This record gives sequence, C-alpha cells and structure tokens, in this order.
Amino acid sequence: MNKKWICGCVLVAMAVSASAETSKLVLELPTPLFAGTPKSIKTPNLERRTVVPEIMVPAGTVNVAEGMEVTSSDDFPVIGELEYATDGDKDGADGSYVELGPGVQWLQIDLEEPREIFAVALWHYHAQARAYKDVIVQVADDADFISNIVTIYNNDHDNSAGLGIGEDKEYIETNGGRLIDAKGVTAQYIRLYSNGSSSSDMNHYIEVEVFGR
Amino acid sequence: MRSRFTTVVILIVCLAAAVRLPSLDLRPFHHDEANQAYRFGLLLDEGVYQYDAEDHHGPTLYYLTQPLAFLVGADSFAETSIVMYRLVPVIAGCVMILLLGLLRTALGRLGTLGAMVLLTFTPAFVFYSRYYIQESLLILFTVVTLGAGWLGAARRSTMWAVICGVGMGCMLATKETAVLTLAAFGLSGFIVWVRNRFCFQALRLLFWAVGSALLTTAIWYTNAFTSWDGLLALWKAVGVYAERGLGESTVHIQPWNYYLEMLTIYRYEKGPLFGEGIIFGLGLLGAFLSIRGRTPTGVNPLFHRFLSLAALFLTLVYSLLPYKTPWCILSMLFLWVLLAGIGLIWLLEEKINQRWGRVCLIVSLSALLCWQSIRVAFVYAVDVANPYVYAQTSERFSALTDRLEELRQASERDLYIQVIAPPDRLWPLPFYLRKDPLVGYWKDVDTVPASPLPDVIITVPEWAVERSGFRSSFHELRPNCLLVLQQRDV
Repeated sequence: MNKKWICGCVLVAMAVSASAETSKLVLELPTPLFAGTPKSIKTPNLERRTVVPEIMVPAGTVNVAEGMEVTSSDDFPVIGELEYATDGDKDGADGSYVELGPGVQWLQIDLEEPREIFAVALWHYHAQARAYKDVIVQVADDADFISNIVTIYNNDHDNSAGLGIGEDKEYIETNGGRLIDAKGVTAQYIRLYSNGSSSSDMNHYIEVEVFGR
Repeated sequence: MRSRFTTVVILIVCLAAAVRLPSLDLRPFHHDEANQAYRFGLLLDEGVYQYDAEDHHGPTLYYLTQPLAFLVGADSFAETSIVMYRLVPVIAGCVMILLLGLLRTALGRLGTLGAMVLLTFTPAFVFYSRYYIQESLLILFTVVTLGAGWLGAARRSTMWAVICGVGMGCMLATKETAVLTLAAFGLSGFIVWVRNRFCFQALRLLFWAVGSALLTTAIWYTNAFTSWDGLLALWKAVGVYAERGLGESTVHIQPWNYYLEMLTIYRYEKGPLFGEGIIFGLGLLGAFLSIRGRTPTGVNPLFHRFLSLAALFLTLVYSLLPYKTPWCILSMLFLWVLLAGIGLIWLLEEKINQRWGRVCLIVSLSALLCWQSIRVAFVYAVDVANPYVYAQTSERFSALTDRLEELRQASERDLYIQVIAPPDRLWPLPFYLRKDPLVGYWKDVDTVPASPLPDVIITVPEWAVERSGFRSSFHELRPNCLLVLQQRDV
C-alpha cells in the first residue's frame, strides 16, 4: 500500500497545443508517506514547557559581552574560533559556532571591569534539536573563579560536572536560545560550562550575550 | 424503577459528554491523528480505502467518520476540522457508557450504574475519548461484545450470540490488538464454562457468534466483498503485529511495569502525580471478592469470576509483551473499571451503613476522578509529565502554522510549498496543509526539483541547506524534533 504513496519527482505536465498557445502549468506533486507512531522522548531533567523569563532591566543596559575576550578550557577548539561566542552572529549555520572538545568544558568571557549583570542570553547550537548537559553559568570577580563566585544557572541534576546539583532544567536548543535571569549580580568574569549534548560529547557555542551596565 | 434507572443513565451520559466535549481543538493534532485523518481524507475525496498491513489498523474509524463529515457538511478533506475528527471518539466514549446497560443483569442495577459513573470520569478514558485514534471505538465494540455475549449466554439467545459476533468482528476491524482482548475473554469464558456449566447449547451459540464474527470481519476488510486484497493484507498483518508485539522492528519497547505504573501512581520527574490508582484499587477489591466468593447482591457470580479472570489475563499479557504504547491501557483498564464498579457496590453495601455516607463516597470519588480527568485532558494535555501524552506535537508547533497562515494572507496566489522531510518527521503537517493545493512531499533532498522555485520550504534542520533568497526559522514539532521553515523573500 505504501508503495502507492512513494514520492516521486515532480512531474511538470505542460499541455502545449499545436498552435503554440500558452496554457496553465499544472504541477503534479508527490503525496506524503505514511509513518507509524514516532518514539516518545522523555529525557531525564528535561523541562516540560519552555518558559521565557520576563526580565526587567534598568535604562542603559546593553550587551556588555560583545567583542570581549573569550578564553576556554579547550584552547584549541575543534571547529571555529572562541571569538565567535561574542561576535554578534547568532546564525545556526557552519562558520558561526565554536566546537570545544568532549566532556565538561567551559568558555569564559572577561567583561574588562566589574559589571552589574541583569541577564545572560545563550545559544549553544540550533541547527538540530538537542539538549546540552550540565549547563552551568557562573560569575566571579577574578579570572580563576576563586572569589565571589555566584551560580546563576545550573541544570546538572546528578552533579556529573562536579560543581554541585542544580535545580534548573535541561532544554531543547532552538534559535530562541536560553535567557537567564542574573538578578543584577556584580562581576567581571562569566564562565559557561557544558558537558556534551544529547547528540554528541562535543560542546558548542554560537553566541553569548551578557546584558548589564 | 426502570424509568428512574433510565433517567440516571441519561444523566451520566450527559455528564460524560460534558467532560469530553469542551475545547476539542485544545491539543494540536498528534502524528497518528493526522495520519488517520489523512486516510479518512482519501476515503472522502477519492472513495478509496485499502487496509495497510503495516500500520493504521482497521477500517471502522474511517467509515464511521463519514456520517459525521456528512452531518457537518464537510465534502472534502480540506473542509474537515480537528473538532469534527475528535467528535468521533467523543461519541464512541459516550455510547460505550450507555451500552454498559447491556450488562445490567450481569453487574446488577447498582453495579452497572457504578461502572458507568467510574467510566465517565476515568482519566485515561476521558483523555483518549478526545483523541482521533481507534482506541475508543475498540472499547465501544468490546462493550457490545461483552454485553451481547452475556445476554446470549444468560438467555440462550441466538440473536444476542450473533450480535456478540458482530461486536467481535467490529473489534477485529478496528484494531489488531482486539485479538488479545478476545483471547482473554475466550480463555476466561472457557475456564468458567468448564467449571460450571458445560453444555452443548453453549456450543451452538458459540458457533453463531464465531460465524457472525468472521462474516463481519470479512465485510469490513473486503469493503463489503468488493476487494479481496484486504483479507490477504489482514493475513499478512498477523505476522507483522506478532513480530511487533514481541518487540521486533519497533521503537515502542517499554519495561514490564509500564502499564502498572499508570494503573497505580505515575510521576515523571518531579512533576504532578497521575495514575488510575482509585479505579485499579477498587478493581482489585472487586477481583478479590470474586476469589473469596463474596459477590455483592445483584451481580452474577459467574460473570464476576469471568471478569476477574479476563482482567488479570489481559493485564498480564500486556505487561509481558515488550511492545507498549499508552493508549493500549484502555483494553485492560475497561475491565478494571467494571470490577471497580463491583468493588464500589460491595463497599457501599457492606461497609457504609448510613445513606449520607454512601452519597458522600460516590460524590467524593466522582469529584476526585473528575478533577484528575480535567488535569489529564485539559491542564496537562500536551505535557510530557502526563502519562498519556506520547510523542505529542508541541504546543509551539502553532508558531509554524500561524506563520504559514500569515504567508497565505500576504500572498495573492496559492503558495507552492515543498515539504522535504523523512515520513516520521513530517506529520501532522499534511493535515495542517490540507487546504493548500500546491504542496509536495519529498522524503529526501535529491529528488526535489530545482524549479519552479517554491514559496515555502519546510524541512528538517540537517537538510536545511542555506538557500539564497530564503529566510529560515526553527519550529518545534515535538520534543527533540525540529522543523525549519524557509520562506522566499518577496
């Protein structure tokens, strides 16, 4: 039965009369193939419904991360450059993201001076539906993350990254990214962890925006 | 007395309709619902139905949708709507409650009313009575089979035996899993028959029932003896479904306790609590009473024993089979609901003396079940924490359909839409694109023609190559499954 619905190429049937009069182009288009019930995916700790937080920010708040220096636990990214994370390009295509090595990796942005941070927007990868594991976002006063460390997002439900258990949920990456409420915390450095994704062990960053003043 | 019974039954059916009818289009069409609707569309537009041995089950759903399409004035697939489709299971869900009246002499007057009330508010039944798949119809025909079978056996009636056979035939023409229910009925009936009333009169009735079942099945699968391919496909389906049931060639493998969790308490992560614990608890009480020989007044002890055995067999079989999908729970849950009706009557008769206490228990149970049903069917209708939500189309899918509608409105001509996606990642799109005359579906990129240039391309992210002159946006089809909408710049 299914074979009857196998898609073929588009057959363009143009009836042209002998007298070369024009006639309407008729497209014969392939019909959809039937498919059985798809698999239901329920990932542990995956959020059930995306809720985009409404964050109120004071006047003068801008993306203070744009063009700032980026460092990483992986100095030699597999694909792309670390700078991609703050270059303002949020496209999902190749050439817009940086790929860090497997396992727990972090990417760090130096804001050059202590800033009041109200929100962080983060795009890992959105050319495919996937959930990144152990997404942890921390801010601190020093580059080594020793003093005044504040965790503003943590979805590591089993402490597999070793930074403590977080209450936040994993989420499916889309072009909407993830908006995180930083609640006006003051810090100069921001560090973002991840531990691979539901698709691979590699870690990706397209863009990180830090809204502050 | 009879008119009072009838009045109460009508009231219960009205309540069932009230719980099942509101906001039928609240939940986006599921992959399977769209498949079924599309197949109905073929029947409506082209008058074609052919049984597919691989999937989509028997013909009853499509043929029984036709009268409804006629009533709402839908002459083509494009004119149909989600509400129209989902009215079919709603009607089946209400009629099955009404037809429980066939079991009045088996369950007793009170037992029947108890079962009707419980079936009205059982969360799984409310949820799947709003779902355009075969399950509600399957249970409706199960009620016919059980009710007519009981009357045939109790009254030695050939007519009821034939009706029972028709019910069996309709079950088989609805969904292949009917075989499991009929096997459980057959085995339980055989045990009760051998132990109690072995007689040749019953053999005669059995002959009539099986004969009419075979005839009914043949009528459905051959399109009333016009196409014999259906029977050959049905024969092929035996192997397909046997293989699938045993866990071969399927992604729907679940642990043995999958249904037991749903029958007791179900919790996903730290989400809200769900489960059919109240029904299953009362049902277990009903089964226990059968084992102890303490059948309540008005309930037939033989039927009570038969029901307990069938419920236990069916639950065991479904639990042992590796293949499990949540809607299959209805077949066993239905039997537990009947047993729960018996358990409830026993509680009311034996344990609660005061009239106000009985009223309080019935009202509290109904309210609790109704609350659970509302959560399942409305509040958490698309939430993965809901045990009955399975590969459900995302709420956010509407962003894609809304965008398409905007493009339609902005365009002065019909949009030429190319859908380039594997078949398991494109449904329910064909339903939502049913009004667009220029839609083509390709299962791979290589066969897509380069010209004419489409207005819109809908594809999967890995095939969404950068196309000059097109803008892309990502949309969630269902968890872990994205679609890309590429619209051509004007």
